[in-house]
Amino acid sequence: MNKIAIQKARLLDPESDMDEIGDVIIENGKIAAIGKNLLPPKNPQETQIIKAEGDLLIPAPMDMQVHVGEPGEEYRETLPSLSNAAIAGGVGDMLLMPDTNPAIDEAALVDFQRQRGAKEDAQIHLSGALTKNLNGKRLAEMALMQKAGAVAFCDAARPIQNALLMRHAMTYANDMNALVMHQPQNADLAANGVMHEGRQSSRLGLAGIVWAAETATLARDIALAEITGVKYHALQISTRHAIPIIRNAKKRGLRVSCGVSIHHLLFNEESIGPYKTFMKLMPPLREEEDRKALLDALSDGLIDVLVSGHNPQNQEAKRLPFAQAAFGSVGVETLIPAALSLHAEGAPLNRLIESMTAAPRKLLNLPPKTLAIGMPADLTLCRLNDPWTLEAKTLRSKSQNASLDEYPLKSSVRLTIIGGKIRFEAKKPDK
Amino acid sequence: MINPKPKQNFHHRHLLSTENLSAEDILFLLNLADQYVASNRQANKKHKILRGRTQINLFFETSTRTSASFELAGKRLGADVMNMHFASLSIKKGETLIDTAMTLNAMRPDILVIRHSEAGAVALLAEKVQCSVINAGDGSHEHPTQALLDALTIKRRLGKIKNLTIAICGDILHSRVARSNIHLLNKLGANVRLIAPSTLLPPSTEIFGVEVFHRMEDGLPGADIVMILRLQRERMRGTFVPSEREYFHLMGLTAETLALAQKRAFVMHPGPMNRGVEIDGALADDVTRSLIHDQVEMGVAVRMAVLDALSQKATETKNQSA
Repeated sequence: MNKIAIQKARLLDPESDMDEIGDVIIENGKIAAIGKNLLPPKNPQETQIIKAEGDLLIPAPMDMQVHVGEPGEEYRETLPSLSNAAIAGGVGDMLLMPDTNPAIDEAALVDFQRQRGAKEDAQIHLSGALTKNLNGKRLAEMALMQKAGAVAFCDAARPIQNALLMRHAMTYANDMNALVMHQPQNADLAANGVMHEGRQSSRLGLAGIVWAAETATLARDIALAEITGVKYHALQISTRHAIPIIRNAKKRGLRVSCGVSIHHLLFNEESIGPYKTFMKLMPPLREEEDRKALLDALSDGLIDVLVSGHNPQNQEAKRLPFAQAAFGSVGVETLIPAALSLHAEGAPLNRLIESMTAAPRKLLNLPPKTLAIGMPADLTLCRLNDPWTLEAKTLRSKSQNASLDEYPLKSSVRLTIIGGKIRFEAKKPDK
Repeated sequence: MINPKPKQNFHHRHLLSTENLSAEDILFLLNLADQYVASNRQANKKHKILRGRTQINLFFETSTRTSASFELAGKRLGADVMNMHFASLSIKKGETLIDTAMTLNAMRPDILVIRHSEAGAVALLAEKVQCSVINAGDGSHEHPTQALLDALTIKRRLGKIKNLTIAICGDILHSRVARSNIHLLNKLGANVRLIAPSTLLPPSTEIFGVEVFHRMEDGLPGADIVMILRLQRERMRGTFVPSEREYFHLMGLTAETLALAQKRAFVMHPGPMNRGVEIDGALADDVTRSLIHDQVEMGVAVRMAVLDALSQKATETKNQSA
């Protein structure tokens, strides 16, 4: 069977402004036909028919911030385990962060990761380091890495403190029209903080990270982006106070964008409860007011992309006193179900999908993937109303440090098609 | 003889914080401790309540008085007490923390008394072991037995805690003693005030239900108890307060500043003191105003009461499961 027919799906593609019930026929890895009531296939034995029954069919989304352990820390996550996790979560494309061991800071390493990643079902895109060894001191060889295939540059979630170096990095990257990404955080203000500075840190007796640590550096970055003209992307904003800064920069026509993590739209500082280290994230989970403001900003498009920030950590790194535990949560496998769950809280479906499909692809200058004839058949079928509760131990990732453990999700992924082949199909629930 | 009220009065398996104790729990422990004060003043201080039980004091952070107080409390109740002190740096950060606890757990102790430099570390260990755990201080989070002994000290001197005005002064931000005291004193109906420079206050003091002042002359008037916290000298590197000299100028308790409080106000300090930094040496030694030695005495009695209460609970549990 080399054809797949998906019947009666809700075809949703923000890029082509499509939201209708229809059929899709897939042949030779591409979308061969799309429309209402397509004729039944002539040779049914050659066609696999999928009855979508109104489930949501979208271009396979992209997760624009994913940390991996290969090379160097394969016990956390390998490229194959990452790809399996992504596909099971309906994610077709990922942008990897360069904070491996060694860091992806030269062309040979970009090449290594690219070749390793090419074997996997999920499509893997690479970001190279902005500075050598991610230590914020010397520029990395961006032009060579770009030639080897890096599509953006950042020091992963490590903030660059030296403003002059940042200016030079931006100036240099702009010559190559490369996207500079950064996690804005002032290290002096953040000091030894391990969570949001506020009510919960006061109660728990933990050192906090004040919101101004984010906005101080974000404002600096935007000033430097203005001087240099570079395309600048703040990886994740976490505080409501960052929103007017981004809004103002966009209003002035600067090439500035930003992301938010799904965890910051689902949880707040209270979620840490009695020192839950799976809720220790960078940037930290902030207040309920921040969560709501971020969700609104994503809904109205001010925040461009929604990411998981997938950061696998093994048990040894998390089963520690809170201050000593590693930052991060896995998330690539739950990004889409969790994102769709936000629709129930009022976030427009169109925008949620766009923030994981067209928006990241445009920022990274990747060819579009839409629901149109001739497009690659990279598609995800999701069920909007399908409540289930995540058990972290069932995740395909090598690490189970999921903030979403035991979280009641409202939506699920039924099917992932990459290159015209079904790579994941959810098991039918046992009756 | 020690006559605790009906034994089902204390339902906790561990003592990890004062935040999750009820006023009844606190009063139960204070009443029990009161009896141990009397017992400790007799020639024969020994009881059999913990005979055959094993208590391990596991200190991941240096301590003299708390560790000694717990050791004495356990021994006076007849327990076999073992002290283990790990200089924090000799253990590679946290790495063996859970392993250490699991190893000790396998030796079947009945009570673990744990101090650790990180907030939440004691609760983390309590999840992993089968015995009762007492928090002897976790980072800047809580130090519940200190708050209980402070409450006992106040109650015995002033006859009550309800409606007293108690000023906690100094480095609140980093103080586990302050957090435990705030929760406990609030539950018993005291009016709690915090007095500190803003750099040494937690960012969200509003969650504690207290009044906040930044100058001693504003916060002391009307105070029945002035609780002075130790200024941790490692905070003195110029980012929280400029110098010890300046700190003493603003926050140091002297006979003159104490005169701003109630006429018969008492002074307390969890120790160890920095004389001349947060408290004037002569004032600390003035037995008519200072309760510092009472606090140490009450410490042993309170810890005996806690050990007693937790062992009652443990016996119940064991009998039920048998």
